[in-house]
Amino acid sequence: MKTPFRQSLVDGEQAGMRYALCLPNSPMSGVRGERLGRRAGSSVDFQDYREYQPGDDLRHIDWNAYARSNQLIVKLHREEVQPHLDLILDTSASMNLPDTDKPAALHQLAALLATAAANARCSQALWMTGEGFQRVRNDTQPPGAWGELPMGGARSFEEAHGLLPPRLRRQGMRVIISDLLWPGDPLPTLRKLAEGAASLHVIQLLARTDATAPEPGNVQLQDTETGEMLSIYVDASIRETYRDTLRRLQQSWHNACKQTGAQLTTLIAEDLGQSLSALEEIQLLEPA
Amino acid sequence: MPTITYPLAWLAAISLPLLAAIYFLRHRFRKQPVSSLLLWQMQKESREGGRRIETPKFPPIFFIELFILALLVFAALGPRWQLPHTTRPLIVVLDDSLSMSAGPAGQQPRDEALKLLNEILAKRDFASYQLIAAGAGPRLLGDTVPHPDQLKDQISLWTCTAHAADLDAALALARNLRKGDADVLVLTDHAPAETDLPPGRIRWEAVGKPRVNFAFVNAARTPHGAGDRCLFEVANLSASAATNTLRITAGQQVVYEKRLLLETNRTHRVTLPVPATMGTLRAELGGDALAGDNHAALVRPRRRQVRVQMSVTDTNLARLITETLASTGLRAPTNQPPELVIHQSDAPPAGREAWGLRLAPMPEKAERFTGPFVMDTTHPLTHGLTLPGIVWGANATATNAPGHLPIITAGNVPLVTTRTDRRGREQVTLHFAPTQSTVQDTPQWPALFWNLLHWRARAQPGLPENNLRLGAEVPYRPRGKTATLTFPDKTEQQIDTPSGEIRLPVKQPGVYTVVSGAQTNRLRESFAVNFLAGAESNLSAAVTDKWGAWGTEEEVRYEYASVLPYLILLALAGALAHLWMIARQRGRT
Repeated sequence: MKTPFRQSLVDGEQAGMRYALCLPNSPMSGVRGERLGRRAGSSVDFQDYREYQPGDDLRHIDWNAYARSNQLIVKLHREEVQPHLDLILDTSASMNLPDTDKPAALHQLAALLATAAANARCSQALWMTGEGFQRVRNDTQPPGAWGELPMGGARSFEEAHGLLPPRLRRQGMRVIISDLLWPGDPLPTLRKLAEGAASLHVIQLLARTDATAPEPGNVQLQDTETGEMLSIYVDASIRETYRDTLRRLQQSWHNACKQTGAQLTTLIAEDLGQSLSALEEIQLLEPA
Repeated sequence: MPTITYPLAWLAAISLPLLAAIYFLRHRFRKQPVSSLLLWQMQKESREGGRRIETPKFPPIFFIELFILALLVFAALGPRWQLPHTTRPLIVVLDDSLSMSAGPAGQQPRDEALKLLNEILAKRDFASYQLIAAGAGPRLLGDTVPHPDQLKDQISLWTCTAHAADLDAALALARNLRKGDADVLVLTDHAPAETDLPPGRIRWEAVGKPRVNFAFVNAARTPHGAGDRCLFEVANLSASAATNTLRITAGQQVVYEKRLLLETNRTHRVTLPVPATMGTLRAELGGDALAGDNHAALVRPRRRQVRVQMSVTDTNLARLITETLASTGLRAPTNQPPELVIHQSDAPPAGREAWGLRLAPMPEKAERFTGPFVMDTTHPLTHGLTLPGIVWGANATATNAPGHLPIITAGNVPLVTTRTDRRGREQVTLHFAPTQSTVQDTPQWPALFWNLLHWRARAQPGLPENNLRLGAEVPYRPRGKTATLTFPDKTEQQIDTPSGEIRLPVKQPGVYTVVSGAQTNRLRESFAVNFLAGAESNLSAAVTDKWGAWGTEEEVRYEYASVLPYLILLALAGALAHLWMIARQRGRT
């Protein structure tokens, strides 16, 4: 780890001050707030008429309409909601890859998005993997109050989701930050995460060593999650094969995101500062 | 096989393990944690068979570099390769005598010689290979072969049982085989007779060791009166004084037994009078380095007598001859059918087996010859005769008849002549005037008649002698057209005997039996062959050393050519391949 994670949170918070979360155009759900919701509420914006039903607030009866039609008609207004961001973090051991900026980048990126969400007056919830998905302590507070995220969970993202999925708010924005390096079809997991979401963004955060194969020579690879070892002689052909495999994995995620309406982008942890424009391109962030 | 000019260059071979060490250190497995082995699935293998031991894998350029280094090290050694067209044939002369099997198994000179031969064959190639066993005479062990592996069958024929090793004859044969252009290797257990070896490319390798050995050097059994006299002579043929036990038996009966203490090269003689009826005597010595010369056997000698018919009209002369014949002890009591007729007629005697001794007619006044007498000393009739000082009366005008072989003459006057007639019978003519001679008063007279009867007796069917030395010819006159020879190991061999005398094939010591003829004419005889070769049993002179060489170092070098250019070319080709692979790898990465 090049910098302490707490410092990464501070850095992310500072970087996030320049951005605001780019809210989707579709109506959202949420607690009472400043954004128009998708349901009827108490804002000044007219939404619809409907027949009076017992229990309706008598103040909402359109008396003019009653005078014209002799029917009790209730005037509905759009509700005003506060948008919500569910930030789903992969804190499994693979995200805590030693000698890389991957865990620091995860902290920085989470802080950045949380700050940007705050700038967009969004509420937020942080979920992290462990024995199932758990809320990050003090996640409603600014990042500096989170403390370091506990990294190195033994469960992969998919396993944790299978054990205890996050309780995501409906019609909220959802952002997944993970290296997406787990076997199996990503579509089922992605479908569940996309269900009821106003938008879903998938950020693949890779270390540079994940994106590029090791240098040629004899290498003993150790899986940080399972501890499994693999001794291999890396040459040019092996490196090429590795790159092909990574490309196929990313393609499978791309296809899955396409099917679920999610946006996918890949960031390199060591180049995070220069890669934030990619988040603007997928309309996740916008200048504050 | 290549030869090496600069052996010190082997030090350069250290670079090979150094290179391997460098690569090992550089290419040993470096640990690298990865987020997941998901992306390495194509390289993962099933672990159901247990954990596999991983060894560092070296890149191909390592092997190319190793190859180039090895070539350079080899080139630095200055290797020279044998050229096929300059390679010489090899002729190996193997001492086939018994002394090559002296000592315990595995340490015998034969074993050492084989070891040395294999070392030489492993070091150097030859155009062809030929083995000659040097026994009493040289013997080719097989055809010339192009490859040393093909010598195995021939080597199995090298038995080391001969009573002598005529290495000079074997070397002469080797020279004749290849006209002197071959490399000759002599494998024996003793030094050459002369320091200077015969001319030619001869390498003499002696692989013997002095050991303690007692041996029979003489054994004989001869009729003596009514009984036989036996002689055994034992020698200590070691380099130091030693003891041994001599034991002589006849069947189950121990005839003689004595513990011997002999100085080096001293002998011990045992003379035993035994009854003529006593069967085979066997003598045995205790164990020593050479077992083959520790046994001797003596069978009963055949008492040969000749049936003589007297047809001499001169009573005085007849009486003289009759008494002389009786004194030889070789005249048979009967004279029918006669084997020797002593007569005075001009015609040869009748009888299929009858030899004749014709007493030539003498004039009244015979000449008295006092010498010098000319004598064919190689003839059986003259064995032991010395005529100086005697007077021999004969016809001075007599001449040698055509077809007669003069045996004893006085100048040009024949005294004793022989002629072989058409039937193979010998007709002897004696010119002798007893009244003018003193020869009948000397020992030469009975000796002459003993020679005559002995000569006739040896021409009888059967064996002339019953106790022989190994290596001596065993003549045999069979009865009939076939003979059956039974060897000491009880195996039998049928031998065709078209006519006359044959030589029995005797190759090993022991007691043999030979049978010929049928039914009443059947002749069965036993004879003993003994290993009585003192020179061969003498292990005091055995030595391990070598003499001679296959040419000077310069000559040997001409048989080889330098392979340095080829090695350099190969190394350059390897370097090019190395460069190409490095360039290709850079392009891919």
